[in-house]
Amino acid sequence: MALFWRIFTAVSVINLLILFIFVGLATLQFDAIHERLIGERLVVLAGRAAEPFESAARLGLPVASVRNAVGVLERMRQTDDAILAIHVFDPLGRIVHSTEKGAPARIPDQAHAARREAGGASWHVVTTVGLLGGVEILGRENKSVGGIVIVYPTTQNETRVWAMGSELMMAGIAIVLVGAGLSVPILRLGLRRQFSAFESIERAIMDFERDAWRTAASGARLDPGDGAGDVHSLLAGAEERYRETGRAISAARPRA
Amino acid sequence: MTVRTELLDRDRLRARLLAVLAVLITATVVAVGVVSVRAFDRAVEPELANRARLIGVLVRGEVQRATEVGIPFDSLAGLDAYLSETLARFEEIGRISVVTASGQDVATAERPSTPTFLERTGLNTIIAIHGTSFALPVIDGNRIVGEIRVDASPRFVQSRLRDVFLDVMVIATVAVVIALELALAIVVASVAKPLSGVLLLLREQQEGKFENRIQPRGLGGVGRAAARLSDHAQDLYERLSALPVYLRSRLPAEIGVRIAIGRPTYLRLSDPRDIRLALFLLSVGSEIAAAFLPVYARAALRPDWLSPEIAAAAPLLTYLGTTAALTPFSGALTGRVGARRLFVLAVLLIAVALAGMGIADSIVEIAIWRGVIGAAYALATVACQEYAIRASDERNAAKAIGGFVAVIYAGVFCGSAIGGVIAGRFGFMTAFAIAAAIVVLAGVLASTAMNGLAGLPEPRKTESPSPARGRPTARYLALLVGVAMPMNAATAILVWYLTPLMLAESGSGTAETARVVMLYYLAVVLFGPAVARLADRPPGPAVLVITGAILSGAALASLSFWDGFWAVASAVAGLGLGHTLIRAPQYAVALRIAAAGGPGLAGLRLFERLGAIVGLAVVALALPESGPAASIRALAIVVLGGAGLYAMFELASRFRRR
Repeated sequence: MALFWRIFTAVSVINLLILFIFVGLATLQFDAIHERLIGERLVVLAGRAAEPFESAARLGLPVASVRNAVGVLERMRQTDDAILAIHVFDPLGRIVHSTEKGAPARIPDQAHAARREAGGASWHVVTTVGLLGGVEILGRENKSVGGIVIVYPTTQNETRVWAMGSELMMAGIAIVLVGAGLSVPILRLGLRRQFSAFESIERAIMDFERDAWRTAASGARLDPGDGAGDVHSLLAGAEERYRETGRAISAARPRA
Repeated sequence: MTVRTELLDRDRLRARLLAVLAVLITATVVAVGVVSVRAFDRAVEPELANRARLIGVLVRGEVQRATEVGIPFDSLAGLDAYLSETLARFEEIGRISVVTASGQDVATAERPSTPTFLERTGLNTIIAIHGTSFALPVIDGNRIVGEIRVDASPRFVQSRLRDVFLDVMVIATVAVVIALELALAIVVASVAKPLSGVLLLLREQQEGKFENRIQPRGLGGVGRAAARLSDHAQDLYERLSALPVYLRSRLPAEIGVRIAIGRPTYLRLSDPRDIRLALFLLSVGSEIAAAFLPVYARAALRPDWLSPEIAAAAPLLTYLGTTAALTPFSGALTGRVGARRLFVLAVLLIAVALAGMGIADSIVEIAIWRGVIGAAYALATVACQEYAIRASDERNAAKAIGGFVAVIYAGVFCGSAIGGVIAGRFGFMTAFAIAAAIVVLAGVLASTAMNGLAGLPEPRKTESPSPARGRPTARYLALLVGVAMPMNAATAILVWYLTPLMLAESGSGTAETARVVMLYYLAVVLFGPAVARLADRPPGPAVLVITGAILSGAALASLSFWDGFWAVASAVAGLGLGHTLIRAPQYAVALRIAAAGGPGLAGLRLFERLGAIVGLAVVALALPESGPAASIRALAIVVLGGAGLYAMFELASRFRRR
């Protein structure tokens, strides 16, 4: 039983550990999927918001010169109450129009890096100010004259991710508990030869120990066991040799 | 009662434990996976509804603009084309339709329906994936003239979740591998090793040798027996010490026993499995960093003359270079310093180098640190290999090496699976820090687990100088040139280099590529131990080596007749299986040659590394001219030719021996 409980404990702890790893990875995966879904939606919105600016840019006008730009952006912002701000920026990343009062002077560095990496395509990235999704505003000969970025809060996504993590953890713990229950018969069946071998070694040691304390009291010789290679025989042989040696040392001790 | 201790056969225990763990952990992970997929589906539904609504709003805007300029709603020209164009832009939408207020269809765009992965496998019945529908009214003046209907495709969700499900399967496999290593380590530490110690002391004491003791570890009766037998030696030592000096030296010989002169020494038992957990963790730690290295290197500062492609490959080249440079000396160094000490020193060096890579910002620094890791990794792995060989008897050497190879690849498999995820979610710095921490943990475990005699420096032979190793025989050279070099070249070229290129070209993403590459390692992990056992049995290791080389050549050649994702995946799996049949048996052949006075393992290890470097260099240079297909065809010819060459010399050697 000792070996069974040791392996059962090990398997259950390992299963629990793996559950933690799995739930962690699955939650991260969900975070990535959900974040991407929101990011892609922001990109569609940004693309829509970019249209009037592109019309102006194709005429050769700079994006900063578009009249009523804030109104256009504000109408787009109202399509989703959660949107924090929509900024229009020039090629250097300086914000030229925004729905936000007191908007920062420039788009965040992470947004700048994501934009550079996208190489003209749409992009989305999570930053300290929120989840950002942006597109380029294309002017004559499809050259970028700036861009539009939509700032979305990350709290909504974070709440969903935490909820997902908690749900998976609760379900996982229930599954691990059921698994622990099932592992008892599976382990017993799968490793029955090994357990019975270990138990027979345990029994042999126990039998030998009993024989040892009984013969110590009676002065009789130890049961020599059934033959070579047998644990009881080996133990009895070693014990006899120890006792003989001990007796020889005692006998050799000079009398005081 | 007769109890044969052989009943507690560790190989059988391992096999049974593997089967039990595979059933339990796979069932748990798959169950949690199914729950996850359903939870994912529920959780993304609101966002998909937002997207469907947004697309509906966009389409409605266009339609409304047309009706505002006076075009009758039910005769909008070109609407079908516009809807099809919109549908093509938004992959999550399955159907967009415009209908009149009376329900008459004005225009519809729909995706062709092909059964998805979940539908084909029947999993869609277990995992109910929801589609989302949305309807937006179209207003002309003050009256509703119709509506826009948008149906989100459940297939879009299924395709996203298919990746999640495949990741679940990869995680389940990784989990089984990790669980097996941990469970084996626990069983070996608490049962197998204490029992071996008890049996050794029993035999010694039965023969009258009371000089040693063991740590009183082990479960139940085994622990008690260990304590009892150790106390025998301690007691006799104390009682003998109490005798006068003249009796102390004379008495043991007179009664035919040997008693410790000082305190009985602790036995340092060695087992080839001692290295498993430490080596596994070292391999995981090293591979976590390797998983994202090309991306990390490409983004680092580099001199103007260095292209991004060469910058991405530079760390791999320095790694392979230093590994090859250190390999020939690693065996001798292990003998001199001791496997345990060398391993611990090497892993500390790797941990420092990983930290160095984490804070490095130029490609030169990254390549130098990666080179340091290559050198230290060569030392650490050879230290483990030498320990495993010394801890096993000659007949079981292939099994020990097979176990060693399987552990390394299990680590590579797990490290590559989790490395990208950690770097992607927590950043490179965190990934390097975690890798360094795992490597340090490997060192701590090794310092206790490799405490056996096999971990100590080899005693210096003072009586006579050691006989010089014999000159390499034709059979040995055929093994190096015909098998070791081509097979390692094939791995480096197909698995590390061309598979990512070919799959990227056929439109596969990074995750799919990673899963295909894992097939190679999975073959080693699953079949490595079984092959190692076979290698020590008739008809012998050479037959396995030749079969493996032919199988690998056939796997490579298959790409000449078949292409695409599944062709590459099959070839990688076939090469993995073929190489698994070769690895441990080729070391068994080399060990037999060494035992007969031939060269040792250092040459084999060196030629393996050289094969990878030369192969990569040749293909990288030839690729722009010849393309991947011709390179793989040439590689298949080299591998099959090499197998023929080795078979010829092996047969000739057998005839000579007869």
